[in-house]
Amino acid sequence: MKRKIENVVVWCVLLTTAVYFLFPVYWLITTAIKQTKDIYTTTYIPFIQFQPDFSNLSLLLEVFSPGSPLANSFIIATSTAVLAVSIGSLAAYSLARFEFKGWMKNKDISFWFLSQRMFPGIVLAIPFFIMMKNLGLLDTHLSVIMAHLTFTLPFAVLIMRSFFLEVPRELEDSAAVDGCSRIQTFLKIALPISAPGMVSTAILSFILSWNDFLFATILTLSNAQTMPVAISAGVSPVGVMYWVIAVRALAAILPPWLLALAIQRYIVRGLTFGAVKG
Amino acid sequence: MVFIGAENFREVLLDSRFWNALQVTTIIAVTALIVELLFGLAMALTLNRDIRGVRFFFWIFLLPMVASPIAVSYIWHLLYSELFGPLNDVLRILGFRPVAWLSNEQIAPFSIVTVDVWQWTPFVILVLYAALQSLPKEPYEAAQIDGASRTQIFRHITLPLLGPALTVVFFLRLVEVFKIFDVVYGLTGGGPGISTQSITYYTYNVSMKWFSLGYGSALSYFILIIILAITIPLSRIIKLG
Repeated sequence: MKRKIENVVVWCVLLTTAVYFLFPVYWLITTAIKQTKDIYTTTYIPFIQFQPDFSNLSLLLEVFSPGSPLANSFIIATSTAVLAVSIGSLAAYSLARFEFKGWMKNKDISFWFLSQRMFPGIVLAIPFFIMMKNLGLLDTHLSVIMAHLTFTLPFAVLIMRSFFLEVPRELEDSAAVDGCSRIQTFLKIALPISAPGMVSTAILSFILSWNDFLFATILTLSNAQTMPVAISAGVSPVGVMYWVIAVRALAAILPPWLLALAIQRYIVRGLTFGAVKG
Repeated sequence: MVFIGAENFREVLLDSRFWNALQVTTIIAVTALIVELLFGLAMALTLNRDIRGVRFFFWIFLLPMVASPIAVSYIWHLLYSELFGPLNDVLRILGFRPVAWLSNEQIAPFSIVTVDVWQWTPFVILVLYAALQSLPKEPYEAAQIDGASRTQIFRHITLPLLGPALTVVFFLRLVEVFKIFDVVYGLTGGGPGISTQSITYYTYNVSMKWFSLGYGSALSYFILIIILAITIPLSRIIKLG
């Protein structure tokens, strides 16, 4: 009997939690398919309480066209992820395999990378804005990519380091005995073994860059405008255009979610810098 | 441009808006952290009871974590809407008075906390669940043989073993919530008045709206010092050596 009550309580808690986390997403989807008149009356169930209007979703086409915010977001996030992982892997490998001497030991260098990741964006945003203005790079993809690398690169270094540390040293040693140079050992042994780690690092960097709002809003205006900036632009002087915002928000949150589902196993590890293994 | 030495830094310390922003940020950070850690721990323990459909919950939990915070803040904008938001609608059906979620100075900071809790508790749950799953079995068997009660097992075995994971989550969340910007921007714009103006949002306003870049930079240094003070203990727990 006691067990039964306990089970009921557990399931009630789980159900409430599920509703708390799912309802906002459900509301977003229904708002995206509501007609204007239905937005201003609170209705919950499509087809029964209101007639869904999928024409709002055609706004997605506008968002998908080349030069659109969504395209910009894809270009910027992909470039950032590729650069962060390729540069970051090299740095991470040397941190994992070489012993640095002198006043900056391995530990100090890692701490420096960690502090870069923790750095408040607003602290960098102001000097970045001034630099990009002087270079004439405001509102270009390049400026946003460079800004996003300031937090994705240290992130990639720290995680890739934890993956490289797990590559058995014996494998690399025997490769060296067989006549591989350092860079060959890296390319032929360490990289293939940590490939899953690399992919998940790339995806997490992609998501970090995709979601950034602060740098994107400061550095871009129209040409390089990213999704998060486009969402906030749905608030016009006339009022908040809820359906526009809803469709754009939907387009902004779906890609990272699908990518995250693909690398579930590595999410916890990635977000705790390898401190907790999933 | 004139060099004015430490004048900007002195001004920050005398700026009542800076102290207000610091206070607002602290209130949001402390409340959010307490709720997220307790809620997260409770959920992780619940899911650890070999619940069927754990996988389903993980799919749900991943969505808020990886969603763009600015999109999330607009989703909650829809929910908080005073006239046609579902939250007030439910309150009305239950016979309560509608609440001014975003335009009441007392309530608005906690509306922001609710959004942060929605977005980041899943992170706490996933990390603590992963840690729970990797705990050694032996201490539990030994405790059962010794006849320990479930509360005793939780208090003397689970909690100490979870210690490192809890500390990592605590510091990671502390840093992120101290930098809270997007949600404030999208949800309240620092208002009503300056009741939800977080420290990063204030700095953003000073530098990007009023264009006093010098004063904004001075403010940035103060944020930096706070964040560094949090990062140093964090680096001790995440093994960097």
